[in-house]
Amino acid sequence: MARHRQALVIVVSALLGMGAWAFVRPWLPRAELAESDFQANLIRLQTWSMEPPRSNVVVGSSIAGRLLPSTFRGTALDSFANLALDGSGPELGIRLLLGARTVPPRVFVEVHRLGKPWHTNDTALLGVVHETGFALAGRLPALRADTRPTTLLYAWLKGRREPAGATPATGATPAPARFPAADPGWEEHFRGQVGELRRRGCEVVLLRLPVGRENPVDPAAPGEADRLARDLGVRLVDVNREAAKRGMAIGYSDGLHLAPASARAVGMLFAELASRPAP
Amino acid sequence: MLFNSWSFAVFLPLVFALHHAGRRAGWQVGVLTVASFAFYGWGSDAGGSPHWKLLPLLVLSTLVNGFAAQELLSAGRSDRRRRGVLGLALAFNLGALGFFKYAALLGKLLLPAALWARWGDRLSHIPLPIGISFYTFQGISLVMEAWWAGAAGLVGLAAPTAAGGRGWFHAKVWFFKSFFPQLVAGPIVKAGEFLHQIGAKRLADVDWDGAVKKLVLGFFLKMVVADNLKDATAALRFPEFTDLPRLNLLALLYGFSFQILADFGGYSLIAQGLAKLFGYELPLNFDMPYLSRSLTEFWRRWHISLSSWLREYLYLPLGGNRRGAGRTYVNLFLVMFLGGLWHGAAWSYAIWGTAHGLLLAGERFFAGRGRAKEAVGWTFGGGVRAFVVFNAVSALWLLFKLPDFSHAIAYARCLAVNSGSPRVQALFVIAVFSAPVVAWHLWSVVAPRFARRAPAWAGRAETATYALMLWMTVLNAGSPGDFIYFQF
Repeated sequence: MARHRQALVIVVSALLGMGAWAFVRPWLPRAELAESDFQANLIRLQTWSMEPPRSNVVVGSSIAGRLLPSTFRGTALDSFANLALDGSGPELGIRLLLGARTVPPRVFVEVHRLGKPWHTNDTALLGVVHETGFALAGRLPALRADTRPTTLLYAWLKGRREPAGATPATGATPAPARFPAADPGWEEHFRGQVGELRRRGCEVVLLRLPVGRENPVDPAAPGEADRLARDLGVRLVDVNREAAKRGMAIGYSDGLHLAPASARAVGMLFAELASRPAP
Repeated sequence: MLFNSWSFAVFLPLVFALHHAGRRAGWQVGVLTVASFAFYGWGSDAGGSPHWKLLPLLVLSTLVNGFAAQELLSAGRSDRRRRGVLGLALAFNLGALGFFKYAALLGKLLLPAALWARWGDRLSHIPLPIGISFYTFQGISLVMEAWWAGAAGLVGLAAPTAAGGRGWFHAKVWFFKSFFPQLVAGPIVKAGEFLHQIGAKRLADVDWDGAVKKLVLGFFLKMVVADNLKDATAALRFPEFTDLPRLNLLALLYGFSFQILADFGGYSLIAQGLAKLFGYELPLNFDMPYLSRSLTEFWRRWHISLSSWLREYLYLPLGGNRRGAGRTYVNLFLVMFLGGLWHGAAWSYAIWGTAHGLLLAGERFFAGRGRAKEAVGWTFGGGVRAFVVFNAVSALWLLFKLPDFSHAIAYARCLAVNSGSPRVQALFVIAVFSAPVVAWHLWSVVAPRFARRAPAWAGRAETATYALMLWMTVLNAGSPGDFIYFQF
C-alpha cells in the first residue's frame, strides 16, 4: 500500500512557498553584499548578465568588489555593474566581457591584481556562468543570489551594523601579505585584451584604489600604474592618490579591503574623478 | 555522477520509470544494475580523467567476489578448497585496496631509498578509484558471509545448482555490488542486510512518505547546510588560517564538524531515500552522533555501517572483548587505527583513528563497561558528557581537514597566540548554517515527547518543517561541491 499523503503535502507546500517567494520578490530589497565570496560573486555575475546592459563596468579583484552599484546612483556612474570578483582578478572580468555579444562603452580595470596568474578559482568562476543553475536563475529570478533568504538577512544585518552615513573606521592591524607573484607575460597579454576591447568600441580606463596592503609586484605600486597607462595610451583614475591628497581617513575591514563606509566614500570620489574629462 | 547534479535530475526519473515499467525481478534488477554502472562511469574527475576508465576495476571486483561466493556456498567443497578461495578473495580485495589507496604510503615505508627515488613519483600518482573503499568492503562482506554460511546458503543467495540458477545468482551479486544509491559513498551494506530484499517490486508499494522525507532532509543537509558551510570552512587551509583571530579559528573547527556531518549524513539519507524509491531499505548510517554521551556511543551513532562492518569482520574475529581486558584494549586500538587508515593513506588519518582508539580504551578503563554503554534519558551530567564528547570529536576532525600534521600543529599554535577582532562574515555563515544541525539533534530529543502529547500538531510541525527544508534547498543552496567522503 503506497504511503504518499505526507509526501504530497510537503511537495505542494514547498511549491506554493516558492510561488509566493517569486510573487513577492519584486518588492524585496536586493542584496549587494553576501555572506560568502561565492554568493557575492554570483550576485555580481547575475547582475551583469541578467539585467539591462550597463554603461560602466569595473573588472578586478575583491578590492574593487567592495564598490557597490547602489553607491553610484545619481552620480556620473549611475549605470554601473561590478565584475570585480572575490578571489579573482581583472583577467576573468575581461574574458567575460570579451565573450559577451556586446561590450560596455566604458570598462574600468582595477590595477591591483592585473598580473595575477590564472587560478583554478578563476576557471571555477568562469564555469559558473555556463552552468544550468545559472541559466535557470536567468529565467526564474526567484532563484537569483541577490534574494536568497540568508543573503538578504546578512545584507540587512550588515546594513544595520554600519549605516550609510557612518564615519570611516580606522583599519585593523594589517597582517602579513601573501600575494602570488605576477604572471611574467601578463603585460603583453593585457595589451592584447585592451586592443580587442577598443576595437569593439570600448573605452578602457585603469583604476587605482586605496588598498590596505600594497603588493610590491603589482602594477598598483606607486609610479607603475602611471607608466602602464602611458604605455597603453589609456586613462588612469587614481583614487588612491586623490584620497591621500584630500587627507581622507580610510578604514580597512581586514587590513586589506575597504571597510563599508570607506568603500562608499571612495566610490563617491571615484565617480567624481571618472566624470572629469580626460586630460 | 553526483546526486546534486543536473545530470542526476534526468537520470533518476528515467531509471525510476524503466524500473517500474517491468514487473519481473529480472527486468528490474537488470535495469538497476545497468543504470548503476552508467551512474559510476558518468562524468570525469577534477583532472579531466573520465570515470568510465574506473569501470573495469569494479567489474573485476564484482566477478572475483561473485565467483568466490559461489564457490564458498556450493555443496561438496573441501575445507582446504574453501579456505583457499576465501584467502584468494580476501587477498584480491585487500590487494586492490592496498595498491590503489596505500601504494605510496607502503612504498615509502617499505621500499629501499633507491627504489623509492625511482618509483615514488609513480606510486604517488596512482589514481584512487572513486568508492573503492566502499565497494571493496561490500565484497569482503559477501565472501565472509558466504564463508560462514557455507552450503547452508545465505538468505536471499543460494548457490546455483546443476539444474541452473547461475545467471540469477550472479545478477544478484552484480546488483548488490553496484546498486547506485550506495555505490560510491555508502552506507556500506552487508550482504545479509541486502540480498534477501532482492526481488520484484511494485510501484504501489513504494513508501513515498519515507522516501521524500529522507530525500528532502538529505538534500537540505548537503546543499543548504554543508555546501554553505564549505564556503566558510574553505578558510581552514594552511596558510590562510594563520591570519585569523582565535574566535574565527574556533568557529571554523566547529563549522567543519557540522559540515562533515551534514555532508556525509546528507549523502547517506539521500542514498536511503533513493533506495526506498526502488523498494529497498539501506541501513541507517547516522543517528544524531553529536548527542553521544561517550565515545563508545559516538561510534554507535557515527558512520554506523563502517563501525558495524569493522566490529563484525575485524573486532569480533580478533576476539572482541572475550579474551580478557588487555586483549580487548589491543583490539579496540587496532580496529580504530585501521578504521582511521581506511579513510586515506596519510598518517593524520592513522593518528585520528589511534586517538579515537585510545580515548575509547581510556573510557572503558576509567568508566567501566556499564557506564560506557548507551545512556537512556537526559540529565545535567549527560548534557555535560555530550558537550565534552562533541568537543573531543570536533577537535579530532582537524586531522581530516588538515591531513598534513604540521598544519594541524600550526592551527593549534595560532589558536593559542592569535588575537584581533573577529571576522563577522564567516561567523555569520557558521552560526546560521550550523543551527539546523543543532536543531535537528535537539528536535530528536523533544520530538517523541511532543508526539505523545500532541500527535496531530507534531505531525503538522513535521510536515511544515520538511516543506520549509525543501523550499530552502531550492532557494538557498550553497555553491555545488563534491561530497567529502568521495575522497575516501
